[in-house]
Amino acid sequence: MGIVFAVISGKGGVGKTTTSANLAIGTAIEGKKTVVVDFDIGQRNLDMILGLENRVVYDITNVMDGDATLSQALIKDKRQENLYFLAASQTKDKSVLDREKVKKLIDQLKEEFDYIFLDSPAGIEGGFEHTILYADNVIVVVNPEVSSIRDADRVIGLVDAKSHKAKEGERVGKFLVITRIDPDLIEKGEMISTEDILDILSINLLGKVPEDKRVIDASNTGKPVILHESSPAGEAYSRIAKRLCGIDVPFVDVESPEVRGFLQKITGLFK
Amino acid sequence: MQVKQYSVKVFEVTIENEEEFLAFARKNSLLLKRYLLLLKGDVTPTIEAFLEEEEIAFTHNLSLQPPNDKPQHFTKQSGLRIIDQLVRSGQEIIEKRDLLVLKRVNSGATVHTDGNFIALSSIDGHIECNGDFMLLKPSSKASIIFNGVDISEAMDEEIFYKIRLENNEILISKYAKDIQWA
Repeated sequence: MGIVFAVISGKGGVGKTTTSANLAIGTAIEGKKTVVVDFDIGQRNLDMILGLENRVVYDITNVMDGDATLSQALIKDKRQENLYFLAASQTKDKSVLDREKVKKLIDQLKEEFDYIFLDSPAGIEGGFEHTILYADNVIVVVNPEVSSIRDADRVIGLVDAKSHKAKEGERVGKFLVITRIDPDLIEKGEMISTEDILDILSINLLGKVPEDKRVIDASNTGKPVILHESSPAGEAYSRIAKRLCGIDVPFVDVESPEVRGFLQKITGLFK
Repeated sequence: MQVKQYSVKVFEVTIENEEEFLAFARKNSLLLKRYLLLLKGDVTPTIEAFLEEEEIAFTHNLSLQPPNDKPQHFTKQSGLRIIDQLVRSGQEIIEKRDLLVLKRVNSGATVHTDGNFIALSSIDGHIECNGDFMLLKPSSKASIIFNGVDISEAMDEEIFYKIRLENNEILISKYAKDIQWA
């Protein structure tokens, strides 16, 4: 039976899709049979970030409506042996999602895969609710910035109130990934520190991802940062993926400018 | 001219027997001195003399109407509600009783209580308390309404404050730099 991770944030543009793509690749590299599903119906972009946009024939709506089988719609990644992708529909909107159909799809995925990542749309409406409905765990993505933290706080509250597991009295695992950490701004006190974010949200820290210009380039070229050599963000995602696979990886300080410089020097040696 | 309004507690006693009343009044004279006695029935000169001697205020022509609906302080349910969870953004807690909140009240969360309010962690959200007492540590983001008055501005440090309502006055004092609970 596979484990379902919903990647959520509340606020848009904090790095949900980047996180979904990179963690899916990371767990696939670790040997887990992984699928990443784009739940952002009507506004898909996970296909572009993964570099699979020209391979999409059938999407999630086709599968849920019975127009295509799951195996027809799943796209096998050309780089990673264990990675599959299920695209969102670009032409429909979020109202096509329906409880029963979502449950059926997730049950099917859980039979075939070890790790299932669901990339949630921003906001707290129907699309988000369907993403968290049957999740075993949620990965909450935040930026060290007040509005992102407040929106994350809101979605964590909604997971506790609305997810199927929580309603059955079971615990939904909640993990925090802080992205776009800028050491210079943290040093100046213009970004909220990890300790303060953890204090406010009080869920487990899964990882910290530093700001990295390569993320934008990676989206444009369809090669996620985890596949880049010497990308601090890519290395951070790789550590997080290992943690998800049960490997004990110590937390790395991505907040101090000196340490970042030191890391760059080390990675420079291997170029 | 100066007009003041007071609330007075009144003991209503119906006298059936002079001896019995005098025995009761002698026994409780210390207590009765603090209240106004409303006497019903036959107030004999002996009773009047005794009460005057003991300096117990009394009257026998006061018409008191029992309130039709229950007075306000009785509508509050007694007891304490304890919240041992983070109050997250978008959550709203409405309580008639006293409230003890152990974890944070985050930005975007609302807590409303008709009783007293005590919070042991930082407050970033919105608090409305209609009780007589609050103990809390508001951050600069918090908005605190105590008995209809916005007192957020009065607490500019992120420390514990004690807020009391006494004689229709709101008294705000710093409680301690930080409370060590453990």
